[in-house]
Amino acid sequence: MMLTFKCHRIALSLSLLFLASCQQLRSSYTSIKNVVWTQREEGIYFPDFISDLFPYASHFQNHFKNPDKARSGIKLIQLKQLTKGLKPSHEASLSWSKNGFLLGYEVVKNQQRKILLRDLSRSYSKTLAIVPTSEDTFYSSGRSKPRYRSYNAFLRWSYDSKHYSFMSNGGQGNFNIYVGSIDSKEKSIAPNPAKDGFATWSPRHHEVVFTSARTGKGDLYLFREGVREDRLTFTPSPDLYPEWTKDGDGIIFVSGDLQKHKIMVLLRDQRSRMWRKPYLFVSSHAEQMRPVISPNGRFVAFYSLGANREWNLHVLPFKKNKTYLDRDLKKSMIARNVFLDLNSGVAWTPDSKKIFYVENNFTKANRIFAYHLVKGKRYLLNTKTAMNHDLIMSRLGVLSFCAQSGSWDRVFMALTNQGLKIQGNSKSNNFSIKYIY
Amino acid sequence: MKKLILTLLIGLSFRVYGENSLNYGETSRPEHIDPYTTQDASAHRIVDLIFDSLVELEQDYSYKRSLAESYAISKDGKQVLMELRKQVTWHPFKGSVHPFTAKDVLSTVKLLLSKNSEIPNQSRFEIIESVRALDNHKVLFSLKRASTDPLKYLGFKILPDFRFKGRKPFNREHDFGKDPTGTGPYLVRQFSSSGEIKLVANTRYFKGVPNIPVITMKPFSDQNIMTQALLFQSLDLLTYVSPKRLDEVLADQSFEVSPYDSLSYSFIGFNTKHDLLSRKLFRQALSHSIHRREMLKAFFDNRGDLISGPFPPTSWAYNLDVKPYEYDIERAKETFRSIGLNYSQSGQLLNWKKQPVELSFLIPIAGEKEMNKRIGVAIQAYLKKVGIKLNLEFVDWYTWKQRVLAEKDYEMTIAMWNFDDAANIESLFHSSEIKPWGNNFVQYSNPEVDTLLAEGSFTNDFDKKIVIYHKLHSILAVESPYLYLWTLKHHAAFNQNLSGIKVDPFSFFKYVKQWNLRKSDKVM
Repeated sequence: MMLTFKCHRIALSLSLLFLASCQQLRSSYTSIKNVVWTQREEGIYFPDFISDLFPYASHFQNHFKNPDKARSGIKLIQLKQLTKGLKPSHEASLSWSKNGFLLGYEVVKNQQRKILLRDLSRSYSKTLAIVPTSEDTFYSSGRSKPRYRSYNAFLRWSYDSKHYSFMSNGGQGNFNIYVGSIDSKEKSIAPNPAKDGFATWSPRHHEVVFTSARTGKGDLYLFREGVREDRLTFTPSPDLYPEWTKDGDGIIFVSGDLQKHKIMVLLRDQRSRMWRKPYLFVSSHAEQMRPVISPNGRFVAFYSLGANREWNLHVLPFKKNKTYLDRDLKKSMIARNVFLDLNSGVAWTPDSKKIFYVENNFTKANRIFAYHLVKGKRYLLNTKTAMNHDLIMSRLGVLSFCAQSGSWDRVFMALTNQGLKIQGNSKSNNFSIKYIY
Repeated sequence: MKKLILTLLIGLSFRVYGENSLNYGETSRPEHIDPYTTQDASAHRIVDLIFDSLVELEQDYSYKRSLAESYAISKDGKQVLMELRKQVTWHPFKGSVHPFTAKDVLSTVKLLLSKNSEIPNQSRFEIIESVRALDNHKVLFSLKRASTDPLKYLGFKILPDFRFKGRKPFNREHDFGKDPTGTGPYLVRQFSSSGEIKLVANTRYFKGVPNIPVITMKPFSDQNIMTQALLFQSLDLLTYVSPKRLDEVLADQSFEVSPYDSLSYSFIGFNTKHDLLSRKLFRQALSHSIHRREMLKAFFDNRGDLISGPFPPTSWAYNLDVKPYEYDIERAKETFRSIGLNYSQSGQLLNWKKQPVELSFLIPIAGEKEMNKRIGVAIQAYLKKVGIKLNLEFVDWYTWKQRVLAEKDYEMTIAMWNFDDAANIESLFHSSEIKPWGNNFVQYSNPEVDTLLAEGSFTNDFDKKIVIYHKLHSILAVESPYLYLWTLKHHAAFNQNLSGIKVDPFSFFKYVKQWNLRKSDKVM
């Protein structure tokens, strides 16, 4: 793809911050010799555990004592691979807890797909893998080898960072939604013989929305503790990738079939608490996919299939009950020919002003780019990793993603200057987007 | 006959249905349907539902009569006499039902041999010298040269003569592709603007009416989205499940997965005119440098087999005594040293001029481009371990063909051969095929191999043929003009409402007549 506008190389401008002595760094990064080392002042831009995890965080703090300089641009401070030296396996599908302390990701081990939880602030980890108990009829049937491997995926965190949900086949071939917390055992919610998946926690309440095939073709259901699950949608085709609006009274999702998927919005009536009929977010013939709402709740980023069969990236303001038209879609593009990342969509920065995404330029190995919505500028995040995907950013400014290391997908973490402590809760929250096409 | 494929690469009771329709998904959207002018895999699968051939290839490589009632092969292997079935009719067209006759066979052959027809790989039909109608239901084929197995040239789909009157050339623009007429088990009812194709059972089908009354092909933009449509009951069948999504389907009790072999294999081709790559030992060392077993596991979850030579393992020509090269870095380094190459102190492999060895790897990107890129990145990492810098160059399919097939402007490349006759490797390695657009794009030349290829092609003694091809396998493994990678299993997935599913690697819907679909009303 030809660049039609200036592209900023993030890593180059930050080369002064890289230190070769860090073992986690790739050898291709150059070291610096002229950095003035000063006593580390803790807790200025990053919590202590981030400084421990990323040694350059302290150097960054010392180097950019002026907050304005620290927050300007998009800075890649340090890149590291989360796990190294382990038996080769794929890692995928990342998920940060809301507070940015806990990271969940999937690993295929011992023929099971498990979810690993890691609390980066302490040496705590937990493995999520539902397997049949001895009481289950599955084993009592006399089969020595289970037919189904335990498959656990799509971890999502609650608003308080204490609970999580995921889907699992229970090791028995029946996909249900499970919820749990760091300190308690997982349990299934609303079990049903039909497939359940894509569970997502409300940002305000203990509510989980999920997709279920129990009524035929994948409708949305709402689960609340102690209440029978409610069916929210009655569309003729699968309703996938539900995402909550910031106030917890709306759900945005993808619905459709064939090459006609559309983004739809469900809203809950403030008074009656009843869910209304879903409406189209964008009324257009173009296929749309995987919406992600910005952390401030004001924007929706999503993919749309262009006339040349390439996925483009769009951002539109989220306004309740508003349906955008085809002409709005055409004006809202911020990147052409991007990689369709269905697991988590694009990665918003905590201040909702930038978006990280992966390009789909066939001559390159899926590089990461960022788009600054306010400035209308695009940046190349020069991680030097290949086949990047599953981008997601924590509120502390750690962009995690999967990249190919040898033959395997592994989790990488890139510390940036995009954490809320540096960028602050945006004072200028009413900014408008600068589009470039 | 073969064609290059771009990449390395198919009893819930809670249902809602208006009709007993099998819905299956594809990730491409055929713009037209006929057996010849398209190379699109989804179009070829639909072709199997609509058209018949005179004879059909079975999985044991024998031929079964289809539109031919009987056949007789001349002693010299140059002529085939075919008696055609008399009760076969074409799908209704504009209210009329036409009988299938010898005219249709003659018309089809005429189209296949016509210079005005735009048919990819048209040269595969050139062996047919002529076909004559002896009466309305009897035809005599003459081949240009003798063959021990002439039926393999006569398995093409038959087109209706009445649709090809006039002088309009047969190409993708022909109106036949938008409204095809066949003799097969299904006929096209609807070809929607969104790409959905609805087919209904042919109640006059000469082999009996299929059990499933309606089949609908639904195109999707993305493999992952399509798999979700299957998992959430919007589709009943996927003809191909990507290796990345296969685990999730296998983990769900509502679905069955059916693996099927394909007569294909993937390989890295070395340009044997390149200074280092012209050395057999250098090529062998590269084979020891790349951990194919790990790649097969990482990228395809071990759903395939490593290969040791230029034939798919399911072929009779494959020599099981030849083992694939082991991944052995030390052995690779020793081999590099044995041809006078050395290592620098930093571990770089140095050529005879004491310069670091760098190679370029030309990778075609189309279709499942993600996988080709992944393989390229992995091979780059493996070669780095033996001190070789590999420069990846991703190019589009058109550029790849131009640079590899036409100009031989490359050092290493990746491709896949897809065969319908796995023993036919003559064009891949015979020195006469070292020419622009020739299939021997690795420019491999070996008089012994040329002789064996010629002998193998012309002998009518099958036992001798096996000996020759096994020897060829052995030689080409040692010579390593290719770094032989793997042959993969494909997987179809289907809802348990479907039963009797049997998938043929050459013709996906070949056994569709025996398939059954049980759908019940929804339970809210």
